[in-house]
Amino acid sequence: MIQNLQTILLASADTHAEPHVSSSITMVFGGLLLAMVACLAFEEKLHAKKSLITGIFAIVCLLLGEITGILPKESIAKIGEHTIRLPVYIPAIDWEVIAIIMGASLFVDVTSKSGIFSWIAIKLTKASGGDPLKLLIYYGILTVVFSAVLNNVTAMIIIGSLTTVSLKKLGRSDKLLGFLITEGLLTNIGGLLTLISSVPNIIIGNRAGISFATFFLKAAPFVVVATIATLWLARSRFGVKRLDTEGAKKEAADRVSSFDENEGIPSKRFFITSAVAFVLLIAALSTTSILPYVKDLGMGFVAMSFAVIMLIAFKNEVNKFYAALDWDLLGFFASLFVVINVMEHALVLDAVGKALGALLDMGDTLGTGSLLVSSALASSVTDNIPLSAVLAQILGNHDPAFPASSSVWWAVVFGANLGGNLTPIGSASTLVAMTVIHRSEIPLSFGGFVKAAIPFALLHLTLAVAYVLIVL
Amino acid sequence: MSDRIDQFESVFKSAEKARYQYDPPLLERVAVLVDTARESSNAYVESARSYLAASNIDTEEFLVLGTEDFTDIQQMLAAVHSKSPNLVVTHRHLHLNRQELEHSLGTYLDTLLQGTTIPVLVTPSPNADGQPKPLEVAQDVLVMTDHLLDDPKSINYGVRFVAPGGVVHLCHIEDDGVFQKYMEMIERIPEIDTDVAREKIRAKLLQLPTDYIASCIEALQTESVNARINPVVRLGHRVTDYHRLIDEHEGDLLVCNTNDPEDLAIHPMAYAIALEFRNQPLLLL
Repeated sequence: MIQNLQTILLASADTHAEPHVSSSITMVFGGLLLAMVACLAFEEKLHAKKSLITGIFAIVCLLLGEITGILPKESIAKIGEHTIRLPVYIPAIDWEVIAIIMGASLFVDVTSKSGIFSWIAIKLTKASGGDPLKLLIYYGILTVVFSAVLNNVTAMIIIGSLTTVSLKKLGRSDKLLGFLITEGLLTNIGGLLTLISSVPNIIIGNRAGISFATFFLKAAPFVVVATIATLWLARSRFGVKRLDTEGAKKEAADRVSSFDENEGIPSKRFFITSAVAFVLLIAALSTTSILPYVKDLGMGFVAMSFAVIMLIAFKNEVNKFYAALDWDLLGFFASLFVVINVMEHALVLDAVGKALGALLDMGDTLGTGSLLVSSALASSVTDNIPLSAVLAQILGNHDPAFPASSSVWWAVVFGANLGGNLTPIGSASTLVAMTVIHRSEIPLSFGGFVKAAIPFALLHLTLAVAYVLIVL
Repeated sequence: MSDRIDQFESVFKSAEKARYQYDPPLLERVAVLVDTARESSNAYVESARSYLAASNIDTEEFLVLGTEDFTDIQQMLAAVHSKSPNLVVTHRHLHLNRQELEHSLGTYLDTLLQGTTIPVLVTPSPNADGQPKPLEVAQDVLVMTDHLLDDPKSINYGVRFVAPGGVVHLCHIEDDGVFQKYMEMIERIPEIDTDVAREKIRAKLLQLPTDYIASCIEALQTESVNARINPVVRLGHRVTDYHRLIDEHEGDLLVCNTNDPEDLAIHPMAYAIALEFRNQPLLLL
């Protein structure tokens, strides 16, 4: 049996066959790719969800690919002695990435019901004694940690909600805008910390073969420095100061002491179970690449397994958690991978790769630095996921191959994540920050956000370029 | 996205709990209003004095304002304002024949409640022969509010007036009629699960005052107050339920806040209670 399992081969035979592709076909598909990216950038204007946009482009690309004959005739999966014929769009999808996202989302959804995240957040609020500067620092650190272990959007929702409630309670609503912008920006810093902290990390890390532990060890020093720098800048730009009189300190402490951290905990047992499961999940993900048996099943298996185990706590109502999954995001990934696969067959990625090659030919320093900055600029105006998926595919097919330790991978990781800090549409979490700001009836335009965020984004990019070139 | 933000905002708003802090009211100067000459009111004044003393309320100044001080409403208000007492003690139907308007506090008392912010201890009307009814020491004090969380003042006074070792019943009656009216509307909205809404709203309505009373008990224990707190939190009809509670607990003193949040003359619930319970002393704030 074990031998059978070990002989499992997953082969998408001929998915990368190279039939003749004319330059006009490449241009047509290149146009489709650009159109899709443009549609994603104007997602809000189109009032259409991402999955629908990429889904339509996936259908068009597949049909056009079949008509022009650029797609392979068949894909075959060999499992032991069995041969399974698969439609071309099935092996086109990176199921490992889908499994990680689905497993992690389910796990976070279930564990958040234990009240653990709100408990931590309220504990820190009380520990701050209501002092605005301490609150900024604590919430900033918490945003980074939550972004790292959850996902940027969930982290921003939790911290943004708490910030709104606690600053209003403290009578400090005038500082709300500064706090929320800072937190929105810090989600993208925290999103750099681990391999599963953001989708670009998962895509790039998976393609480059970077392990969870290596990713963390390489990214952590930057995250620490960037967090400190961001909080320092936020303090001066938004005028966040410490309370200076004993009376003000006492009043603030009294106000935050009325928060009850146990309010959101339905069961102490479930709370402890969730905390332990979280630690175990991080430990398992950190060691997936060396754990016997598990290493071949991958991080997707680990994430899904933990999610299923946690669902036991809600065994009669698991359907509610399935329904709460972000199917738009999952559908978006699946169809995006299909589009990119077709683009590969249409040699669009080769063409982009050549342009990218010119960038990389500028040398280790200028080339890598330019790759980081251009990735950031691109992801500031459109979704960073297609960008990282396209770049991962191009860099993965590069000849000679880039090793996992190459700084080009990191240039894309840093650029794709930090580009989100340039504009409110650059990342999902800054979009959440804008939503929370508008819910609090604070007027802030697109330009207003950019004006407030640009000093931070420039600081982050400068630090990132220096870090990637000097340290990595 | 908005629903997830709302979900966490709800969690944090729910975690934000009002906490009670005991702030004992200052009762150094007490004014007793009578509708006779001062000399003829000794029995009533002594009855009031011993009632306060039994509750460990030591006053530094005990003033009596009688017909020498006022003969009409304006004079009464002027006299009270000039003395600036911390508490006024008087009886129902001040300057009024109780037979004429039994179901009324009387115009003097009405005006006093509306024209000043000074707490008024209203005792039952004197007997037909003008003798005051004996005042029982307040072993059971009922603090009656329509929203306990907004009314720490009533609790402070209730605790201050209870006899040592007595019981303060902190009552929070959510209006069942209003609740049912909203539920009827919810039943007509297809997007809202009626059963879930009924259960969750009811639980949350009652949880907030229950938690607040828990914080009262904690605060009073910290202050070593010699009184027991009995929480009474339920859905119901206020006046009917308060009737039942007074019968159940043999309430010796009822404490009500008369300040209306909408700046009406007097809080409607306080007025209804004041008219309804004519044989109990009332502390109207």
